[in-house]
Amino acid sequence: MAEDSNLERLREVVAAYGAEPDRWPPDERGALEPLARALDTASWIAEERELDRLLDAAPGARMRAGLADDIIAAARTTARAIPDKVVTLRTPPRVPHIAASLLARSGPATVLAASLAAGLWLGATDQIETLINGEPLGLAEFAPGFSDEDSLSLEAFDTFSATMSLP
Amino acid sequence: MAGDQQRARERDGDDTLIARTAGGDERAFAELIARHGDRIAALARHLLGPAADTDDIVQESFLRLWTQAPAWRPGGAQVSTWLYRVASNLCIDRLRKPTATALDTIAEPADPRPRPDQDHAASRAAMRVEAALQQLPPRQRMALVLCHFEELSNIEASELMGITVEALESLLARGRRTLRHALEDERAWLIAALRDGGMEAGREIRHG
Repeated sequence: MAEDSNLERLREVVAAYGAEPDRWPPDERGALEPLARALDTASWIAEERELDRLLDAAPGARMRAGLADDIIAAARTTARAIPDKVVTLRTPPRVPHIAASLLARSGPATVLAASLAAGLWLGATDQIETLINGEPLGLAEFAPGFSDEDSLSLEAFDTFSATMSLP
Repeated sequence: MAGDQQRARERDGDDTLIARTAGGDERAFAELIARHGDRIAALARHLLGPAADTDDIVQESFLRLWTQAPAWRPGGAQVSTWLYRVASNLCIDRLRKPTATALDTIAEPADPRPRPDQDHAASRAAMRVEAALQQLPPRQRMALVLCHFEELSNIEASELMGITVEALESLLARGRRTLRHALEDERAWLIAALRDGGMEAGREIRHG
């Protein structure tokens, strides 16, 4: 009875994975391989072995020489995912002119202060968004001179907020 | 068993490389491309056929890996499985386009790349097998490509395709049966040609 069910399973396995035991599900090889050896000359096993040989002859492919360099060059100009715990700002519909012009002409300290001011303004207008997994930003539109990859980490934002006395 | 150990080592290495890639290390990224690029190229070639732009699939797959690397979670998906999934989806998108569908109706698409052994019977036989493979319905072809050519386990392949192992085996069996019937009338010369020379050519390329 067990032999019958093994034979039936062997037929299924050979029909799906071919005649080479190395390609069979590992947990079934032990039970099926002795049976396959005993039936090695069976026509249905021989036919699948022949198809294996034909498939093995199908042309493969390799990457074009130089493609890796092209990919790396392209990667340098590709925006990347933003890790967890990052505050990102979506493009707001309206920005006070003074904040935008301040950001456009500012150094790092002014940028941080202006970012806080903008955040407070956005928060007040219920337009700040904290995105845990991050999404591409529209910060360039919001603040000329910034790229869309710019963002402010949550920790930095908390630290900065804690040092400021909010009105 | 040795294969399992090698896969475990590869996975450990990939985890390290993806962590360095997340930090912007281009050398680590280059190493990931070197490790997996040829297999992604082979996957694309087998799924899309010789006329397809496999470079495009490889480049897009790795750029997505670069983009997602900073959000990669250690212990999650294997890099190789993730790349297979992305590349497979890109190939499926290509197959859905009208131009790709039209390719399926061509009996023997010619390989545009010159081959030094182009005139050899073995090479022609290999091209005939590839043409027959391209005639299979996409899901049967994908099952065969993942299991036979890319040598994924049945569990890996079924997870990647989003189906059960039983459904995978059904696709594999139907695909192999269809292929056998398609090549039945030419079986004698195909076997003779491959036996007389170059039979393992495709396999050597695949496993580099």
